[in-house]
Amino acid sequence: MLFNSVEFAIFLPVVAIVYFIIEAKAKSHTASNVWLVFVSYFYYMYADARYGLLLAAVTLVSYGSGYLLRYVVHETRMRKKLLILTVVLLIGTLFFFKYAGFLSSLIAKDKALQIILPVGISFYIFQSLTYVFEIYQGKTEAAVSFISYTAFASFFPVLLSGPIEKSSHLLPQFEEEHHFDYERIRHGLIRLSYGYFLKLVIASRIAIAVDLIYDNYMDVTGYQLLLATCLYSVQIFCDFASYSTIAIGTAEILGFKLTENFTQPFFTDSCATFWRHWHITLNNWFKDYVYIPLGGNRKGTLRKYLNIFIVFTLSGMWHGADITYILWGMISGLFQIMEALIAPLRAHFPRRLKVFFTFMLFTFSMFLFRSDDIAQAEIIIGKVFTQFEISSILTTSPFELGLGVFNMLYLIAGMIVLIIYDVINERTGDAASYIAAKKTPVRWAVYYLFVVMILGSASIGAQQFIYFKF
Amino acid sequence: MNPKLKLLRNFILLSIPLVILCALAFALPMSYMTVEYVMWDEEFENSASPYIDAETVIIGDSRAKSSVLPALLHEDTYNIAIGGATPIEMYYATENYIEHNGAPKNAVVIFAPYHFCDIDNWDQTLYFNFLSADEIAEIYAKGIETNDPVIARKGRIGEMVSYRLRLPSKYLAQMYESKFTGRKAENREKFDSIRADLGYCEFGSADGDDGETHEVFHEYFDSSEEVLYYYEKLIDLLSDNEVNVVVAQPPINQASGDVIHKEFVDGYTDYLNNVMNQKRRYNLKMLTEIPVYPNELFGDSIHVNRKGAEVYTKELRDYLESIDFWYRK
Repeated sequence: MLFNSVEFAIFLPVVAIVYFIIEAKAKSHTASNVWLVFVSYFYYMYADARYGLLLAAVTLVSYGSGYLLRYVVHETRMRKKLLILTVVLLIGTLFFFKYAGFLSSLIAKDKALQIILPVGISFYIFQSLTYVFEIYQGKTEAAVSFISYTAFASFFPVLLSGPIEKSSHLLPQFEEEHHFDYERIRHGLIRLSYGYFLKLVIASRIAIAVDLIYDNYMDVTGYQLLLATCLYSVQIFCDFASYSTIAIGTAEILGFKLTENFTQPFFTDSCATFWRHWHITLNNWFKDYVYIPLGGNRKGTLRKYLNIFIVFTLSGMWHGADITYILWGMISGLFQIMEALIAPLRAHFPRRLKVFFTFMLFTFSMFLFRSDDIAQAEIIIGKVFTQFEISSILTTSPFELGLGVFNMLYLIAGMIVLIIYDVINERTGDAASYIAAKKTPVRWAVYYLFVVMILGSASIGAQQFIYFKF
Repeated sequence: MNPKLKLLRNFILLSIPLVILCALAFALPMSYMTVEYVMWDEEFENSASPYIDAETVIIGDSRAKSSVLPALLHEDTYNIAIGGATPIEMYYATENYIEHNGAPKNAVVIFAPYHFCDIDNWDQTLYFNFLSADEIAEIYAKGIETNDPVIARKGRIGEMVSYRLRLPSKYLAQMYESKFTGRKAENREKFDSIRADLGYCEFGSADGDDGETHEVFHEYFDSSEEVLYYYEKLIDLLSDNEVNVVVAQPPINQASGDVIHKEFVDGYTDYLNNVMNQKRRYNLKMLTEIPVYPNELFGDSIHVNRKGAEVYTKELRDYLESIDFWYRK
C-alpha cells in the first residue's frame, strides 16, 4: 500500500480512530499492540500475502534469538555463536532475495533465478538486527512480550522504507499508552502534509524531466545530462525524505516518536557531514554495527579510511544487486577519503563553495545511482566530460523538459517553499512546531498552501517511492 | 472546544478545496472531458430519452460506431455503439437501453475481434462513470472469479473509489488541459453531430491508412474469459427479449488483412460458431468472415472513414435484405 494512495487515505484514519478507542477502553495495553500488529500485517500483505510469512519468520528468528541471548545463553562464546547464527540467518535471507538472481545471472544469463524481492525486506531485517545486536551488547532489555516485539518489528509506518529504528528507541514506546492528543496529532499532520508536498509537488514533477532526459540519453548533450542529474539529486532527496517524513508524521499521530532520517543534507559543507544528514538511520546502523566493530578511527588513519571504504561499499550493496550501486557506494566512500586528505586545503574555501562542491560530488555519484546499468553510466559520464556543449545552456529551455510552463512554474514555487521550510528547520530544529505556534491566520495560510499545492499536483500520478525497490 | 471536535472541524475546513475540485469534476464533465466521453453521454441520454423510436439498433464498439451509417442502413435505425466499449460495457448499456425503451425489434452486433482478447479501455470506462456502482462491482466480482489481469488487477479497488469520488488524482489532469471548461463547445458540437447522424461517429478522417490494426498482434485467439462471458450474456439478453440479431464483423484494411494470423481468425470463427450452436437462441444469425477493405477506405489504421462506412453499410444492408431481416417477426 503506497502512502500516496486512496487506500492509505482510508487506512490511516481507521487505524488511528480504532487505536485511540482501544487505548481508551481496553484494560490492557496489549490489545492496542494486537491491533497494530493486525493492521501492520494487513498493510504489508495488501500487495502480496506471501510477504507476511517472511516478515513473521524474521520476527520469530530475531525475537527467539533476543530471548535466548537475554535469558538462556550466558556463556560468552555461546552468545557469540548464537549472534553469528542469527546474523547469518537474517543477512542470508536478505542476501538470497537480493543477490541470488543477480549471481545466477552472472553464471548463466539465460537461466537466471527469477526471485521477487519482498518490498521493505532490507529495512525490516536491519531493524530486527538492531534488536539482537542491542541485547547482545546489553544496551536494551529483551521485549517484555512477544506481541510488543511483533508490533515493533512490523510497525507499518517504518516497514517498507524506514527509518530503520533502534530497538532501544522504538521498542519501549510499545509499552507506553498513547491517547488522543490534539497538539501531537496536529504536529504529526503538518509533517504528514509536508511529506506529501515533497513527493507530489516536487519529486513527481522533477521525475518527469529527469526521466525524459535519461530515456533519451544518447540524443542529449552533456549539459542536459548534468542538469538532469542535478535535478535527480533533488528528486531522490524529496522522494525519500517525503517517505520518511510521512512515516514520522503517521507514527506521531499514533503517539510514536521516530528518528529523523534527513536533516537538510544539502546545507552541509562536506561529504562526511552530508552522510550524517542523509538517510541517517541507515548510516548510523552501518556506523554502529560495521564501522565501529571494524575499529572505526581508533586504529590509525589508513585503517580508518579502509573502514570508511568498506562501510560505503556495503551500503552500496545494501541498495541493490547491481554493479552501479556497488560503484556508487565505493565512490561515495572515496570522496570522503579524498576530502579528509585535502582537509587543510579545504579549510581555506568559503563555506558556500564547500556546500556547492558537496552537492556536486553527491550529484556525480548519482550518475551511477540513476543509470540503468554500467554501460549507460559510462556513456552519460563520458558525454558530460566530452560533449558538454556549453551552447546548449542557452538553447535548453527549462519549459521544454517535459513539464510545460505551468508545471515548471509550479515546481519552482514548490522549490521555494522547500527552501523556506528547510531554512526554518535548520534554524529552529522543527519547522512543524514553528508553523503550529504561529497566529491563526498565518497558520491557516500555510495549511491551505500545502493543501492547494498538494491537490494541484494530485494528477501528476501516484508514482512509487524510489526507495521501495531497496 | 473539545479537541476531537476541533480536529474534525479543522479537517472539514481543510477538505473544502478537495470537495470543490470533486464537485467540479462531477458537475461539469462535458466541459473538460475528451470527445470519447460525448459518445457515452449521447448513448446514455438517448437511452433515457430516445432521439428516435428505433426499430433497429447497432450495438458494438468504435468500429461499429464508425462503420454503420444508420440513415443509409434502414429507416428507424440508431447506432448505440460506444467507442472503446467491449461486450462488458455494451451489455450494461444495452440492458439500460431496453429498461428505458423496451426491446428493439432488431439488433446488429459488431465488435472488433481483438476486443474479445484485450480489455483496453477499462480505465476510461471507470473514468466516465456511466456504469453504476452495482454494475462495476458485478464486473469486478467476475474479474476476480476469472482472474482477469485488467479488471481485477492490484489496486483496482482504490482506483474504483477514486473514479467514483471524482478525486483530483484522476480528473485534474484533464481539467487542467481543458482549462476547466475549454472543451464544452467542442463536445456539444460533437454531441449534436452524433445525434444528426443517428449515432454514427467518424473516428478517423484520413483518405486512407496502411497501418496495422490490433488484431494482427495476436498470434492466436487468446480471448478474455470475462469478455466472452459478457458477450454471451449480451446475446442472451437480446434473445430473451426476442430481438432479431445479426452478428457482423467490422472491416479491416488490406495492410492488416495481409498479415493477420490464421490461427487468430480460426479461433475467433470457431468461438462465434460455438456461440451460435451451443444453445437455441431467438433468431440469431452470424456473419463470421472478417471483411478486408482497401486501405483508402480507412480513416486511421483501425476505423473506416466515411467513404468506407458507406461501402460497409451498403454491403450490410444488402445482406440484411437478403435474409429478410427487417420483416422477420
